[in-house]
Amino acid sequence: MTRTDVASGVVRSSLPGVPEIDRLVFQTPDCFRLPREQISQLRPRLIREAVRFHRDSCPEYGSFLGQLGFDPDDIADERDLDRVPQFPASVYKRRPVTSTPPAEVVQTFHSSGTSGRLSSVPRDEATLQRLLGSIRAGLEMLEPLTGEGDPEDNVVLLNLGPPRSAAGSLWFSYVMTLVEILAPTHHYGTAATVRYAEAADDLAGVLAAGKRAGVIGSPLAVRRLAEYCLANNRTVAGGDAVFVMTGGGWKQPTGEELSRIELDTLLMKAFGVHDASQLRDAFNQVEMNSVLLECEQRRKHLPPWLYAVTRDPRDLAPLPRGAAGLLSFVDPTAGSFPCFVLSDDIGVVHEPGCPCGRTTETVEITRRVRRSQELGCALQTERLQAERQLADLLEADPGPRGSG
Amino acid sequence: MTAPTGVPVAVPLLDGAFVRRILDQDRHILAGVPLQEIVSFLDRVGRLWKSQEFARRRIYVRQLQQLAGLSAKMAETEADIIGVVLTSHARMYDIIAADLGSARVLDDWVPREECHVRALPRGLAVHLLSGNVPIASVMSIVRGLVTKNLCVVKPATGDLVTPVNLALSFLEVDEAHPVTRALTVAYWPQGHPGGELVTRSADAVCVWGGAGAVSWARGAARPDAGFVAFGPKRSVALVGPGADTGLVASALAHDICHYDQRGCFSVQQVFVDRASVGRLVERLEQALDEYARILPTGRWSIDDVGSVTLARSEERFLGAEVRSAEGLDWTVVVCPPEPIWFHPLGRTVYVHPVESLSECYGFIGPEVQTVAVAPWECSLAHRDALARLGVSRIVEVGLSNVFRPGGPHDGVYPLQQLVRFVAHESPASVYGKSLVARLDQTEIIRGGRYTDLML
Repeated sequence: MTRTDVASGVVRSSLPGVPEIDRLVFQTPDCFRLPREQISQLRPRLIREAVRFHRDSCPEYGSFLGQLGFDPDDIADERDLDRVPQFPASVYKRRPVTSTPPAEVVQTFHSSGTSGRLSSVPRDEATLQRLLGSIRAGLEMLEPLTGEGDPEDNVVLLNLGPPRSAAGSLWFSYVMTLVEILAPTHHYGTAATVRYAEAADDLAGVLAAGKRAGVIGSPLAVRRLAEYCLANNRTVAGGDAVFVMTGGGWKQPTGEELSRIELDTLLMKAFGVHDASQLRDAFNQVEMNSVLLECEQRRKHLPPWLYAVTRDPRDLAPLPRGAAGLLSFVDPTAGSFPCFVLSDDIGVVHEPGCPCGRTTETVEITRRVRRSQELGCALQTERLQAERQLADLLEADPGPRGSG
Repeated sequence: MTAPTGVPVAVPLLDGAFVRRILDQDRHILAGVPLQEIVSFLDRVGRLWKSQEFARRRIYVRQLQQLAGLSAKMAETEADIIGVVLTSHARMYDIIAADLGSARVLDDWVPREECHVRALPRGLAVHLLSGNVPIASVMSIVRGLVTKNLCVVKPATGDLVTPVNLALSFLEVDEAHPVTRALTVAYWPQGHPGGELVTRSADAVCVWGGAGAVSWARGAARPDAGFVAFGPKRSVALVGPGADTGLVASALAHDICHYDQRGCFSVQQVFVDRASVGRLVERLEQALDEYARILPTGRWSIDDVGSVTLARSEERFLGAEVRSAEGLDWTVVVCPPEPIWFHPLGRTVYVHPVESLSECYGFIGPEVQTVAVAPWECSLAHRDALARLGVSRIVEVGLSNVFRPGGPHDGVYPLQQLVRFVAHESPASVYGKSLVARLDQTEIIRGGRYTDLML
């Protein structure tokens, strides 16, 4: 669809222009190293546009802005971003909140929480593509780990989760499968189990073949693989040919947080890893549309489009950089839902200045806020889980009446 | 370890030698002690606790503030309640009678139909406590002692101070008294093998707390051990037409503010006759303000504070009417009825306007312990339905924390799990109601007269 300007001879496309957010996500190499001034200018622009869009497309968010008397046009520069109205991510556990017609929703994803209700977040094609774009943009941080040459030929990823076909609507599993864009990937998980023995075999096999291996999984799954290797005399001398990428919650089945230092020690012992910089973590949640990857300094970098601020738990007032508080995000890459969320993670947003040389802020996630639901709702949770199990059972084995 | 207030605390851990001492103790040290002697000893200790000059009480009040985060007024009130519980001897006898049928059954054989029955201690009773309501620790220990069990008490990290100070006050009164010797307080962290061994060796286990704690204790307890579990539960209130909104608001504020809503009995949701909502909420705000003065909130952790703030923000986004103190003293959320999955506690109450109180039925199940009702007549109209739905107690608004003698606790009479009933049954010469002749079974079989003689 083009037309030619007769006078100038210039050929012009009549296709809609590529939005600025997409140019940044998909077409800006080294976007984590943009000059600070450039980030300061483009972030407010992108976020203003996103707030306007969701005000007009999402009735709940529009009404919220109306209540607060907030006008997106009041976002003039970066200092105004703290004022963008945010709401707790837990809202997605209670109501469908969307900015897109149902017909455009490619899939509604769910959180993997076991503590009661799950978040449901609808995503359209553009939103999913931008998620993928955010991962692709961040993968440059892993380059030292994948070695020289094409990762397609030199690297094998061992994902301790299910393949995409089995991930269903579970957001964590889906996101973990996206590592496929980096290198050939083997999957070892189902919804309920992980084949650790097979993963341990393959890890040794990949290294024996002279390739690099990346172990991908939740902190708990990765720990269990390491424990399996140690208990069964299957440790490997990975040196610099093994790296580990964790994602998802750090909570153990006991409810206690896994210690990263202890996990590092365990992984170094089991996989013979030389340096802690080969053990990286990533942060994302179903209510967010960008993935925060760690650089070689093991610091989680914000992409240049994403704004993060910690807030005072007492009144949600923004806190200065470096102060611990409730983490909150303004993510303009989500088109199908307003991604202006107060998370229930406690953490710190650090000023740019990471020794790695990237120019964006870094985020440190300390832990989840312990909300009191357990005190009163454990039985409701039990019932909900029983209902889910029954639904699964009926789907797997509906019985003669069900199938007839 | 770190107390909920962030203060570091050194707590001796259970070690192998301590486990051995616990397991080697005479499990029946109190079996021969008359109930009146146990009650009398508790009364002696309790009278000291009633005095604000009692040194142990002063230490306790200070530690409750420093380590458990209670306000000064809450801590003093808690110490007062300990004094009242330990000295309420008449009430103890009533509770024992209600639970076991008779208080005398703990000391002697008591006739019951065609038997004489006696209640003997189970032996070693392990109490796994929760830290949300300090007085619950005292209740658990008193229950264990009046049933003459050897008690091993594991405090929760949320309240390390109540069981320890109670035990120390026993020691200070009489270190050689069998009641003192029958009480051990020991801490062990989750997964500690010594703690697991003690629990597995217990003849009775009494667990308070969340679903995880209860499930663990259920798995660890011996199959033949007595088992009592309290929690997790939540509580609600119903306010029907014709209530005096001023009085009800004040009573509701009490049920919301006591223990900053950490009790199972603390009211979290109120279903209110729609016509009264406006007036009630207005008066409730005033009452909650008053409670902020007369019973100030405790010191809250960042998690407590964050939970309340996030809940306020969530409700505002979803269009609820959120009223609150300027700070975090209280929050009232007026919204249509719905299940509250993430109740933030911290004196937050969800007020649901309803056309009929029966609309609450869809939001009530066995996880609800207490339903506080006003006006009282409404309780008569709804008690059958509420009982069928699974609630444990129906009380008047303002009395949610008062457990009247005669009432069960979370659906059971707990003392029954802490004793072992033994029957001394009547001899053949006693005809009993089922016979009109001597009970000679051989003769009955010979004559083929089973159906004639046995009823």
